Amino acid sequence: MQYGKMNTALNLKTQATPLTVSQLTARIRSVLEETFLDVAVVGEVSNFKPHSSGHWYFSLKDLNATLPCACFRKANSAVRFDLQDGLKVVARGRLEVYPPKGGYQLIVTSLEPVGIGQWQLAFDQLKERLDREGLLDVARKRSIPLMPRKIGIVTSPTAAALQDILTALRRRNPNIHVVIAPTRVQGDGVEHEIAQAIRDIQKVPDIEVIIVARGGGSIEDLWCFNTEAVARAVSTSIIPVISGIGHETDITICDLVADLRAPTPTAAAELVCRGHAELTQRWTSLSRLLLLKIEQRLMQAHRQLERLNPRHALARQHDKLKKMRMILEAHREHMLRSMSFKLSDSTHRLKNLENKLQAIGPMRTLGRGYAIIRLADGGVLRDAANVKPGDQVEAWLQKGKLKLRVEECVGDWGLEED
Amino acid sequence: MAEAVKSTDFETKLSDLETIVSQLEGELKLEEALSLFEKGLLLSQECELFLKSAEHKIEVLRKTATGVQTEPLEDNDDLFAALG
Repeated sequence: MQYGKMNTALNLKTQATPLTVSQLTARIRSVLEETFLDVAVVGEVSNFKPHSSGHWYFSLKDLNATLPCACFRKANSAVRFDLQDGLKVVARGRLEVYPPKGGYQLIVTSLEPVGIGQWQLAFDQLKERLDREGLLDVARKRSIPLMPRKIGIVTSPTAAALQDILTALRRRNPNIHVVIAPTRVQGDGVEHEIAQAIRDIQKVPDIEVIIVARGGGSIEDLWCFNTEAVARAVSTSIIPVISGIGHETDITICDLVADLRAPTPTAAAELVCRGHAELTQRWTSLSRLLLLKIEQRLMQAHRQLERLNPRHALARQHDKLKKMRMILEAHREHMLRSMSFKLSDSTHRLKNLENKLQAIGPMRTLGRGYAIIRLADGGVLRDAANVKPGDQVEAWLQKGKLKLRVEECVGDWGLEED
Repeated sequence: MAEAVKSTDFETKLSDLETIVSQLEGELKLEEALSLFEKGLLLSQECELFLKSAEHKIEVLRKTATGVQTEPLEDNDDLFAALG
């Protein structure tokens, strides 16, 4: 009966002599293989067995039927996601009859998940696997040194990403030592090259941070950064890793595993320089405060002087103020030049300060005809008893100085001191 | 040489400068204020030297039989050559 049915189905001529099994199978084979040379079939994966040879064997099922499938190594190397039982896929390929077993199977040439892109699925699967291992834990993330002096960059030397990074570094921190680990960042199997470059750069002494970078591109272009090889190299790095891959909207597995994710290569360079920027700013504001504080202290001294007897006080403070003014003058120009922020306000105050120094300095008094007599040691002479005939002294006039030798010391004016 | 200055030394200098600035806010004799100011200026200048020294050094990693070594990058052509 079965024989008769088959005859009908295959439109075979009724034969007087029976066919051998081989003959029949050969006919079935030619019919099936010629009819289903390129077919796409949707079903759920079951009984998936990756063979040690690299070939995959599984079945596609729906409620009522099962289709044995084989996906050989060459074909499955292009499949980005992990095939798993229960996954709904569209398999494309040709039917093949296997005479010794009297069976047939689909020789799969391509596999696509249903309802989700294969890239997305592969991403999700790897992410989940790494997450289970704890590799995406925030607690694992190491802090990036505030101001690294030597950094490693893993990227393609021909890519714009490297130029972007070097430009940003040069602009923001001219004092940084860069070591580049060149690697391709696009193409088949390139993830192993990247992983190796990440391992190699750790052998260079004193590297404090590694930047793994690549410019923007399609998800296929960026794919190598979504691979386990790169993820493992990053997660086992003994040096903190900053990942700067693609554009702001691109998130790769490498980004997730890295200690810090920068939205772009340029941003990665900026993150490395943030400490330099912070400390430069701190230095600038401290230097400004330093000037401000000494200025305030001098003004305070000025007010104190005004309250004292001007003549004595002037003489006493003359040396200190003169010294201070010299220091201020020597450093003012330099400091103003070196501070990168706008200093017009401070400049103005410094100018005032100088005017005040002039006012409280001895010049005005000297202008009235007084002179200051200074001893050889620089001290100011106030009492004739402090010198003896023959001593060298110096007289400071409003204009110029005189070198004098003491002729005679008269003890006292005979007047009341004030 | 600027390269010899460690960033930790720099951070120490910066906190010293910070201490001096806060001391200057207190009640000080003029002499003390002056000497602190001088110290502060010196620190400020040393910090500046560190911040502004341009030692932008770029090297390329090359594989050798025994491991890796770095070579200075003269220009971009070198960089391209590094890939072979």
